[in-house]
Amino acid sequence: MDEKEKLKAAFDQIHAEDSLKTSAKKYLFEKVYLKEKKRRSPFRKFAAATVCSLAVFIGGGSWLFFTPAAFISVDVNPSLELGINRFDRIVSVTGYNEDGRALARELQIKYMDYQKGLEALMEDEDLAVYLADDADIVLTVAGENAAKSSEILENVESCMSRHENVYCHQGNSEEVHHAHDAGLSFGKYQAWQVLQELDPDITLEEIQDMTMSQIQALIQEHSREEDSAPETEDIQGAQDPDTVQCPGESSADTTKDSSAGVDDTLSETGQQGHHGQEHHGRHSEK
Amino acid sequence: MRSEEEAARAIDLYGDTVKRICMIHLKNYADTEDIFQTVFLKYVLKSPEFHSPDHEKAWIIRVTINACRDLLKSFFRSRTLPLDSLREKPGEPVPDHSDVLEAVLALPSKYKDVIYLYYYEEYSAEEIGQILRKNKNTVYTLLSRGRQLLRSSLEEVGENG
Repeated sequence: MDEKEKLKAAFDQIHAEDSLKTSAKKYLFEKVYLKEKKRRSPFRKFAAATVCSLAVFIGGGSWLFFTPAAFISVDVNPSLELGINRFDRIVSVTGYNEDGRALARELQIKYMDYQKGLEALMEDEDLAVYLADDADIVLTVAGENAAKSSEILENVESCMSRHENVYCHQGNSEEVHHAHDAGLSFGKYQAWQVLQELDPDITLEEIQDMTMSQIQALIQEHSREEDSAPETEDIQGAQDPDTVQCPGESSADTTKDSSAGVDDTLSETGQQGHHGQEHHGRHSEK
Repeated sequence: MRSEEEAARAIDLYGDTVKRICMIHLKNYADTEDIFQTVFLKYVLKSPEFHSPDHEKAWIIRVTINACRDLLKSFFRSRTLPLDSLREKPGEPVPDHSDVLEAVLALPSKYKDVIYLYYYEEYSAEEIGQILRKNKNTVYTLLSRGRQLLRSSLEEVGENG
């Protein structure tokens, strides 16, 4: 056997072990193909697309859900404001004075339908304390979308029709922002505007913790003073023909007259003065 | 890039060749494993075009020889000694014709490739020159000196045996 044959025979005995081949295949699979499969996997693309669209959907949905489209301001002495989203749910309950904040903490009306929420509010024991002396409740509806606000106002009115001493108004969203900046609920802010026209010295701080009845009493008082002045007739004459008093009110006594004047004045600041009249009529008949 | 199936085929087909080259240069299993991974990773990622199976085989041989040289040249290897080279491997069977293999392994490294390619793979001097990127005459010189060294070492073994 020559050296060539010997060498061939010697090298022929040498084979790559299966373990060597397997480890090389495994290495390639982990290093190259697994990554490639992950990158190419249609499931991953689908999953990524699903996650993205879900995020957009949830983000957009929660923005839609948690952004109030309208506000209902509830003022007795506690000043409360309910943020209503476009799905008619209460998404925020904000107190604008101490009593209001205490009431807001106690109330469990968040995420309820606003009509049910208002019902729950009217039946709430904490609010009942403030209503003991036939105090007035002023509900003011305001929102960016006038049609939506009108719809809410109508629903609120029908929902509140069986309660006494409830006044409903509609306001505009710009005034709502002013009221929030001033730290007042919208209803009280409107009342303050009316009062300020009659008495320019009155400040926001002074009325912040007054009850709505007190504020209205103040307005009445100032109106009476104005009534005695000769210009009053002109003011009354300049009133909008739409806001004429209800038949029941024409024969009312002085107190009723002045209270009618207050409500009309309040209504004038809103966009739909006639909503207030209906309730006012009920109030006068009492 | 080559597919997983192509890679598996190449490993099965050329695994023995790569192992033989590794054996004449390297002393331990871990290094051989490294060379296997390096060679076939290159095969998959670089995916050169081959005109024929012979061309493919020659490419594998060249890449394996270069990978072995790189490994031997590396800083770490030149200054360390692998642990398993210090002890006898118990599981390794002693092959027949071990005298020939020992004689080849004892050759200076520049002769090993030429001897292997000429005697076992049966390449001509010209082909060996192409694979090793060396002049044909250089290959002849290396071959004749290597053969002399091999012969004398085999004679020595024969005399002693």
